[in-house]
Amino acid sequence: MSQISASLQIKGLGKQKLAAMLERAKRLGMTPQRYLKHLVEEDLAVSERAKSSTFKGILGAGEATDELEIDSLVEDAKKRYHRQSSRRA
Amino acid sequence: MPLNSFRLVLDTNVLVRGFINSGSDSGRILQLCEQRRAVTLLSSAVLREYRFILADTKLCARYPQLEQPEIAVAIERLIYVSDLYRRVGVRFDYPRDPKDSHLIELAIAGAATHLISTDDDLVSLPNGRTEAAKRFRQRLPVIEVVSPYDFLRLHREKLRLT
Repeated sequence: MSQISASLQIKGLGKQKLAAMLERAKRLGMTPQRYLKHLVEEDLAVSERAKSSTFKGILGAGEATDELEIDSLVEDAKKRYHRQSSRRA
Repeated sequence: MPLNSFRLVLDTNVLVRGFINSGSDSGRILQLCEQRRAVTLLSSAVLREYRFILADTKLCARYPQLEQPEIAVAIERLIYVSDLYRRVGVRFDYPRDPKDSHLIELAIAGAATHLISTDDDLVSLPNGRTEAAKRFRQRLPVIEVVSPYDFLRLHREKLRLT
């Protein structure tokens, strides 16, 4: 079987993120190349699982809940989210 | 109306309700989207909010079934069954609740037929008398803003629900 090799260049990651990536790879006992390959493979696996499964299969059936409580928690989280995003803008 | 001409924008709490309980009205709407009986619309802004809320520590502490690896797959699944508008290119000023303007902007850009929400302000918008309500009717003259329960009840036959 012929081997296909590919090399990718990543631009615009920034020094901080690059350093964090190197640190993370080291922490996981991987080379930076192996770590990036692992990330790509993980993401592709998520994508494959998403295509072939269902919401119910992924998350389980769940059970009857207090929907007003969910709404209230979501509303609070929304406020936090929009406060954060307006600070960033 | 052909089945897949239901074009839905889901308010965040509707998505969360559906993720937590697949048997709820919101969960049934998600299943209809999987079965291509309706299409969910997404924008980058809406997706960012969904992701943030579904990772919220208080929400996840209360509902431990929202496990992050599963949520990542579920969001990916949502993208898979949705029409994603990366650039919406529409502005809608909604002073009553600016947090919801991105939902209206997506509805306009994606020619949504329904905005599914339980938020009273949004639900009353199509019939409101405010300046924003008038602009809303101008931009979205035929949209219905309804709760998950009302959406299923009103379109039971068209959705071929048993």
